[in-house]
Amino acid sequence: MVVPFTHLNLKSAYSPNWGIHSPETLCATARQMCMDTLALTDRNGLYAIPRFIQAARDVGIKPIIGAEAITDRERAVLLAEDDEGYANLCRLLSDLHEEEGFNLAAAVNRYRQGLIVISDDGPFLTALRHYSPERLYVELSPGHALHRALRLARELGLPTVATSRAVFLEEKDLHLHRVLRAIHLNTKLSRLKTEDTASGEDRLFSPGEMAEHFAHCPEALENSRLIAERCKTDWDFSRTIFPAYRDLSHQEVAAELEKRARQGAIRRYGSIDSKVEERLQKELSIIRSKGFSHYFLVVEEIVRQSERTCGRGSAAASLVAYCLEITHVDPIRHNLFFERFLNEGRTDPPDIDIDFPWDERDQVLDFAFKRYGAKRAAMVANQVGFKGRAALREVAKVYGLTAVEIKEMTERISGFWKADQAAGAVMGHPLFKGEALRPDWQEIMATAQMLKGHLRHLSLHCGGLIIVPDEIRRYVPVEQSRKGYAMIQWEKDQAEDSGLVKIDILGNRSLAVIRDAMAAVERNRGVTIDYASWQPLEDEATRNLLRSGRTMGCFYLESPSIRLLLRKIWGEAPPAETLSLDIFEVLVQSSSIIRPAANNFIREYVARLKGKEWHSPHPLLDEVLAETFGIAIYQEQITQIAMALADFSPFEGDQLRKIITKKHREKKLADYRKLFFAGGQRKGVPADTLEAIWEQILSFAGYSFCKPHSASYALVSAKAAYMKAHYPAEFMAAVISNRGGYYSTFAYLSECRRLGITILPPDINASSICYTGCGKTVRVGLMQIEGLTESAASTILREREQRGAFTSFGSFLQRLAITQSDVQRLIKAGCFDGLEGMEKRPALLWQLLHFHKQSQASCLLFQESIPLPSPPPYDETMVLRQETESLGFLLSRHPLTLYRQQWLRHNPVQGRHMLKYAGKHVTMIGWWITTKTVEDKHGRPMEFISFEDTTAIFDTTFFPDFYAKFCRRLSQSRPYLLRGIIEEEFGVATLRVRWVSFLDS
Amino acid sequence: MAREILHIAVPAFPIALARLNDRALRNRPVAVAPLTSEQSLLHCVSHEAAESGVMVGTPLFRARRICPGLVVIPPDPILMARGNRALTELSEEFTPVVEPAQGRIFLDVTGSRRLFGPARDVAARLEKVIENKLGLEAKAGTGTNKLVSRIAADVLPEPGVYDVFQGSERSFLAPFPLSVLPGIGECREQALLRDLNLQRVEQLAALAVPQLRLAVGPFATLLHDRACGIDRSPVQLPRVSNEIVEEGFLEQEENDDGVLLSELLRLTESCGLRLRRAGKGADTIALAITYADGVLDQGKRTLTFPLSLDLPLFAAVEELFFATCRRRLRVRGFRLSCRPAQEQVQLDLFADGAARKTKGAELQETLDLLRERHGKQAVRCGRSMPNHRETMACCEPAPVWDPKPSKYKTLTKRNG
Repeated sequence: MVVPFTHLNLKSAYSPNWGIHSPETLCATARQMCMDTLALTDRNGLYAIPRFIQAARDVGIKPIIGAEAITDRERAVLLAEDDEGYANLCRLLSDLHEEEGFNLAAAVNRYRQGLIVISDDGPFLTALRHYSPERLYVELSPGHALHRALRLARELGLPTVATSRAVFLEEKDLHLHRVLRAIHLNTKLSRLKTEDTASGEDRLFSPGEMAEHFAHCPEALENSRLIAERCKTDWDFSRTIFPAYRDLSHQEVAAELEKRARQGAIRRYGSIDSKVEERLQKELSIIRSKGFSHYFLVVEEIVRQSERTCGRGSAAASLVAYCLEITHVDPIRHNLFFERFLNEGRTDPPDIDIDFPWDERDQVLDFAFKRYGAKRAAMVANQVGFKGRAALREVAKVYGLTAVEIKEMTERISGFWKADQAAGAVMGHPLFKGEALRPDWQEIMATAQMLKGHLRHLSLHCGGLIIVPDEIRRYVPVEQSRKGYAMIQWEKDQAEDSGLVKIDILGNRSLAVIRDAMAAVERNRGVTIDYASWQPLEDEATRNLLRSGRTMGCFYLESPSIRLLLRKIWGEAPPAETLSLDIFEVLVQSSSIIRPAANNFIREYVARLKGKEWHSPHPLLDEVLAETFGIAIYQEQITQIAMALADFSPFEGDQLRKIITKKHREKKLADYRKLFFAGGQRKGVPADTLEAIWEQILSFAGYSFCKPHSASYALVSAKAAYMKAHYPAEFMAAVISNRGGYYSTFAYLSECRRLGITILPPDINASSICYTGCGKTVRVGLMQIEGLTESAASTILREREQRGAFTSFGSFLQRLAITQSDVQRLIKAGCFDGLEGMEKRPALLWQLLHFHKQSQASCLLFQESIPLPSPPPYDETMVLRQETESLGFLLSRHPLTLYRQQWLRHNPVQGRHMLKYAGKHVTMIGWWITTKTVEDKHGRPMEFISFEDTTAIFDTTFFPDFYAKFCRRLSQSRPYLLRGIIEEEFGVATLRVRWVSFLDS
Repeated sequence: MAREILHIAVPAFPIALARLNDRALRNRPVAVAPLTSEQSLLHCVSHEAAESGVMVGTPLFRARRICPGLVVIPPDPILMARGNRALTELSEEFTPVVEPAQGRIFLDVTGSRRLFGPARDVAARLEKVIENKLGLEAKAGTGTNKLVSRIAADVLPEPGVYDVFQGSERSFLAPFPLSVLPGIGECREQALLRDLNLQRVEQLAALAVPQLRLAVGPFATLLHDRACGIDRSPVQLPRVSNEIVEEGFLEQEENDDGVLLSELLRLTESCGLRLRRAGKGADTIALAITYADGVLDQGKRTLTFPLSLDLPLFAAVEELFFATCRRRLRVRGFRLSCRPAQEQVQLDLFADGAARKTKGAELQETLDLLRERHGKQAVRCGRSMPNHRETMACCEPAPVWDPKPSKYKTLTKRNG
């Protein structure tokens, strides 16, 4: 017998801190139970609706959209009957999250159109019944006071409907649910109250099981079927929703865009020649036909809010974007293909990403919200779940383990590992070698490994802004972020799948670095650089700096791996054949080829750049790979290879690119592999060539760029390099002050010294809040003094500006009202050494204590004058200690010099002389600068660590066997003694470490 | 007559005690710290740890960085209490004036000179007894006051006796670093004095009190006295109390309320029995909970009328437990103390005597009798046998480490 029943109350893992199973699992299970329709009703949100609809379609189930609205007092399941119902559901859920004192009954009444309401909440139903009994049902669920609900239905004269409030699939899910609840409520399992958790009965019963539960009440089952039939199930979210520019019509906007693009082209090129004209026409027509004109103009308006921006991503391939000054790389000159950004075949909306100086980003967002109103604009969210480390930590807390025990375990777990991987890692990873796991940890691991993608809460995505033409709360529920911005309930992938076009407004510290350095140069030297017409790469000094890899501090080019690559290509004395290379092209290529999986290709790439003969892996690829020496470097080359070699359509090629570079790809990748090999074989490409090329394509996984993106960034890098080549002091000061570089302040100061810059200590009369550079000196800013309050620093600056420099410590105390602890920090940081001399530091402290004692005394009568002791000056260790305490590192000398006696015994090789010892076993000393842990191609961990000695910064490699041996000893801020072999490749030396010790042990 | 004060100290007492039980801790750097967070400060460090630069008061995370092999154990108040009791008992053989502290004992032997000889002889004998009976190594200092004898004991590099002669207190203290003086162990004050370039006790003694007041405020007079070797505080006997105290440790650290309450029930029953035997009722109950990380939570309740029967007493204890045990952390043990009411409440002259003796009291009497005859386990309360703690219905084994998904993943760390 077929039981007429449909599940109308079902929670997925996207019910925050409640649900257990993913929409995909739930749909698959429902299908196995022979159900053809299913509703997803997550708690207070539509967090997974796009995923659910996709998952349901995949298994042939008709999806119903709904949500369970729950407040402190009321609860109801709400189902969307039609489009109007969906819009109302979104509005109601938005109100629930945004409105203070939200009243569910009143809200349901307000948004009644198109909503089916199911509840067993007496007062709530009574209130609604009062207005209309239509589309109102009493919910009967096993294990939830059935008889009371039945009585309520009779009293109110409302129809009943059966649900199981399904959360679980099997009995053991209850434990995981209870753990989730305990994590959320910050309590332990034994103290969870009944009402805090779901009941064990809340399972996805098969229709047959439901029939057994409701033998006495068949109409409740029947009603579930009737409701399901009333609800819309052919949902379509594929239409793209563009913002509207100033409420203009499509024609008006297209005309406006063309006008501005042409004005911009004249600004950029001086005149519009046939090539530009042709490209403009082509782009404008596609933009127009795809309805993108509004979007371009909206972005342009936002970009105008800052003087210095960097349009990145594929949008940099657009001439229109270049003319509108959204991007800054000339796409014609640098061969960037518009098709990568927008083409007729592409169905998903591409987005435009723009970088702003990090400290201007919030103002830009505020502008956008003000311009388009909170009704139309909202930010994209991140759906925060559990990753390996958090899962383990939170479960262990529920089990009552101590913070230290937990940290001991979790600090070794990589942030990349998912929960189940982390559990596995403890069994096999070298970091956990030789440890037997206690039974309670085993249970914690077993529980934690089941926490995959369970939604905990939303957080604000770093920059995704969505603007719709009418009302954002029609399309998706909106919540408030902690910062007070409206944010939608979906993360970027689901937003994209639902046709919401996002504009990424991101913060970039390097734009601020360039801005600040330019301002300092103008102030110090009166040199003004015109940002718009600036061509940094035409300058020889800049080119030399880039070639020699002296790019610490230069955006995008400062990591050890890219600096090594630049040195391998050119080095200090570039070979003649490499001087003819177009430096911009090489920068774009090298910054794109640095991918963890591309080490072999990098070696081959350098060799080919240096003149090694090459041909592409297959004649069909000659054209595609011509520009990149026969090696796939850019993301878009995946598409092109697949099209050329395996007859993919442009759409399929683009899908392959997306699958490889994004997440959730496992199952689809296999399909595409088949397609690729089949297509290749049809075209007569040998299998081993296909295999090799496929491997190369796979190396793009996780981390790779498209050419337009790298080109945009390379331009910013070149500007930074120009500043570093000509104004190193101003530039390095700006890098440190903006705090955004790849390295620590300590490492940047060492770089300054290598550049011949003198580092001046903080000084009460000379330091600003930020670091300041001028000529050959960099002055430490007050920002570096640990614990100094911002208000104290700005008070000092203000006083100095208004009434001139301080003449003595005494006058400083008299002029300013700053707390005793702030002054103490200034003394210890050496701010008064210039005025009073370092030897007086302890005496100044006495003076300070005395001064404060005097000022505390209420009147003159109680002030006692005490003769102050005259203490001897500090010894050297004390001075160094105060330096480390107040600045966070040693400023006056390199910390390694403290261990000179110890290191002399080992006769180490200096960093700058490494090349001379290539191939030899050596001893070196080093101070830890930065590290990169990678998994090699077998998945074994290894580590690249950069150290510096007093002469140079140098790179070392810990291969897996030595990493496994030493990984538990590697810590920061200690003087290392390293032994190993110096390896040379393309004229660059690195140390392959075989033994590690410390000078201070 | 000058006093003769003897001080005995077991270096790193909590660690020395822990090492008696756990041989794995011997000859390794060990530190004691509450395991609440990586920020918590070390209470005590072994000399191996001290040699590698770890000090009392160092935050845990920094200590680990300095000494990667450091074994950190949480404070164990019960073990400490037992150790202290043993030390006190041995000391009381020599003088009744004994002041125990944590792993330290002050003895005033001024009056027992004729019996046992000068303080330094007593010290040597006591050291030997402690070593023979407890297996602990102790150091001893003698002098005219507690301050001097304590510092004398502490500065000894190994077991022995340091005798400071009368009148040489100030010169004895002069060369020591300031940190030997009690009261300036606190980080803030120590740092200030260090910044003022005051390093040795003699420098402090040379300052005038008003000058010192600038740095340490009202504490200046006392500190100045101490710097000069003056300490007038007497050796104080511990307070005697009539409280009924039961302590208990769980076999395994646990955070399940059911298990915890069953242990508490056991303690309550013991207290109840002792109260009834003494013919008293408790008017105040206090509960101390020691968590796995060494943190102590304490709670107290004043009862409306004195209780001695197990069930009502346990109801009060249970309520106190829920109010006190607010952390999710595993509990290591409890200490339940009941203060007997000062006087029995005046019985109502005209009340019906038989009715006053409630059924509960009769039941309790019977139970006590049964337990006395047939052992404590003869009749037990259901709640003393807790349900098994909630665990996973089915515990899947962790998967084998599969490096594939993290292939080529990169993690970058920067200094600072």
